[in-house]
Amino acid sequence: MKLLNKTVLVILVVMLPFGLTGGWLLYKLVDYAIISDVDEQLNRRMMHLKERRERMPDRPLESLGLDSDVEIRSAGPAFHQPPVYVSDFKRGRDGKKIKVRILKSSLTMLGKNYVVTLKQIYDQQQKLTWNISVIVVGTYWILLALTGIVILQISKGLWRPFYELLDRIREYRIDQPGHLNVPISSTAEFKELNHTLTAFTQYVTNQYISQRQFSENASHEIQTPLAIALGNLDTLMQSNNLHESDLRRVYQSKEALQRLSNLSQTLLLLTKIDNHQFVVNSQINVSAMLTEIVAMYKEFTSHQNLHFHTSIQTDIILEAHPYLMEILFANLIKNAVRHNLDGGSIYLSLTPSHLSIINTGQCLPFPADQLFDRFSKDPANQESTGLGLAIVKQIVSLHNMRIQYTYAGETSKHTFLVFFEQTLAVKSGNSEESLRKV
Amino acid sequence: MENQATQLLLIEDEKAFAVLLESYLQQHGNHVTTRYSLQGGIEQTLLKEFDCIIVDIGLPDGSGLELIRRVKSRRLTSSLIIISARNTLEDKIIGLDLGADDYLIKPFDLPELNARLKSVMRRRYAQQDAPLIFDKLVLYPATGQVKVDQRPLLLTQKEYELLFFFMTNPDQLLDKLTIAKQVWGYNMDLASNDILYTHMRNIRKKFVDAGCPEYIHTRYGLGYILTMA
Repeated sequence: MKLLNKTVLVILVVMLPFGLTGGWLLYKLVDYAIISDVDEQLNRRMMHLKERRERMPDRPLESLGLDSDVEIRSAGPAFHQPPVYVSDFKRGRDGKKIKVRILKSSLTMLGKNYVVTLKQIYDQQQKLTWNISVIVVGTYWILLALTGIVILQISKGLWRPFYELLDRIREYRIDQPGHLNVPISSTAEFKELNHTLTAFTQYVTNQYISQRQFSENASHEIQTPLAIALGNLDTLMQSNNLHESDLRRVYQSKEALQRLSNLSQTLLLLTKIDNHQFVVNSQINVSAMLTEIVAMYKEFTSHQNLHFHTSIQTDIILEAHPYLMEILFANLIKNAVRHNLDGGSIYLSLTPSHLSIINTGQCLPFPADQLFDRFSKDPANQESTGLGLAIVKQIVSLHNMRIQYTYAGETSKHTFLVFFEQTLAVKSGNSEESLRKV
Repeated sequence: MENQATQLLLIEDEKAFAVLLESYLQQHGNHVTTRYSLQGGIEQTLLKEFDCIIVDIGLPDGSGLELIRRVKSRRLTSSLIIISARNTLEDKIIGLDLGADDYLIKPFDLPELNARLKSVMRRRYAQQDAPLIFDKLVLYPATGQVKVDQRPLLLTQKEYELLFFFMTNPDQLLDKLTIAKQVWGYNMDLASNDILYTHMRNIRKKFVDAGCPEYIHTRYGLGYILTMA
């Protein structure tokens, strides 16, 4: 939930009990004031009755202007009724219930004891109380709602720099050139946030760049000592003074160093792809490229008795990086050759929308979702660096393509599908390029 | 060229590597002058005209590419081989665009350097088409033909490449790794011992069939050597 809505909701939730209890309290207070007032009137009427009676002792009790609201009964001399005020209803002429206040009290007039009951209608006042309460509470709610709307509107404006900043952060890529472009705000808090974030991203970017340069420099720096070691081993290999078993040790060291060199070169390539050091802006006839690469691998497939079936649609043009595309194709084919069965098959097909490479092979010795991870490899396969498919994945994502892997256990077939999001053109026979989106 | 030692200028700042290359190149009949800095290298080019300059790109006092620029601007005819630890396409393209004859990435096998140097030298003296001769074996790079005692020997493309590499590095033990790297490059990891063995067996069989002596000897578990012994 947005902070804005949350604020408004909190205000509402907090104000709701205030509104309700406040309304009730208001009603009760006004009601109490009115009842006090009515009781006061009743009391005054009682005094008035006594006064009139005593002023005009000759007149009969009935002529004292009594109406249905006054009831006078004689009582014994010892009887004493303290004044009691109660609320009650009486039936009106139309049969409706009308609120009344009743005062019942013993009254001594001219030495005689009476019990007097006085009734006072206060229906109107009651209704007024209700109306006042409703109006006040209503006004309160309307004001509250208006305040909420105003706060919402003002906040929207106030928070705009924040949302802009969020957008900028979302667009920001640490691996791409350019600073975090923070929006300008006059709000102190946002100014501080912008300042902090700018400093923070600058720091992280610098760290990233130096890390990046470090990986690259490390890869390069490692090559020279390797060259020295390998060169010396090469010289040792030519020595006539070494025993055959020593020579084999020299050779094994050479092999190990060569692996280290390959590993470092491959990591360097991965780093470079990660760092976007390859610009994808060439139009490449991938059909021709793939045909050439396939021909290169025929030697290995025939040596392993593999059946290599290819179906390459001609003249498919993609916007890609030529060197990376070659590595992509080569790594996928290499993978299909290396992890195949003796006498197995490879099915390769290229269409304007996708490349598919299917090979027979044992099922993966690790979970399929690790297939494209760095250094996930078949422990039985020593030559593999475990980086080939990681590179494939990086190249695919750099080119905005998509790769999918499936394994069909019953036929022992691994399928790799590379979907090209945008095929520039499929050249027609007269080599006229027709633009076409897939 | 055959009789006279090739005059080489080696510019490499890593002393251990420079010493190694110097001794290897001298063993193979070249005369080597070694300098450890760009400035030292440039000074040498002013003193003497070399047949070939082997220059590292990453030198402490500047880029080896600068030396190539200077050499080319002075219209010196020395051939140029770049050796670099930087395996970047851009460096390679710039280097070759500037007029370098070859570009080797560290680490490289010494027989590979030897093969590249020989091939650069053959081009320099317009002898790239001159046949390579090893006793009765003659290889014609221009036509891709191989002859034994004037009788043609039919080789496949890969067999020809292999033999070419052996003939540029005679009497040297070429280990399997070096051969695989030379012939299969990026795919050397796919080239199992098996595949090299098959090729070598086929070449040797063709030698026998052509009545050619057993020039190629197997060093078990290590590699092969082209030798008369």
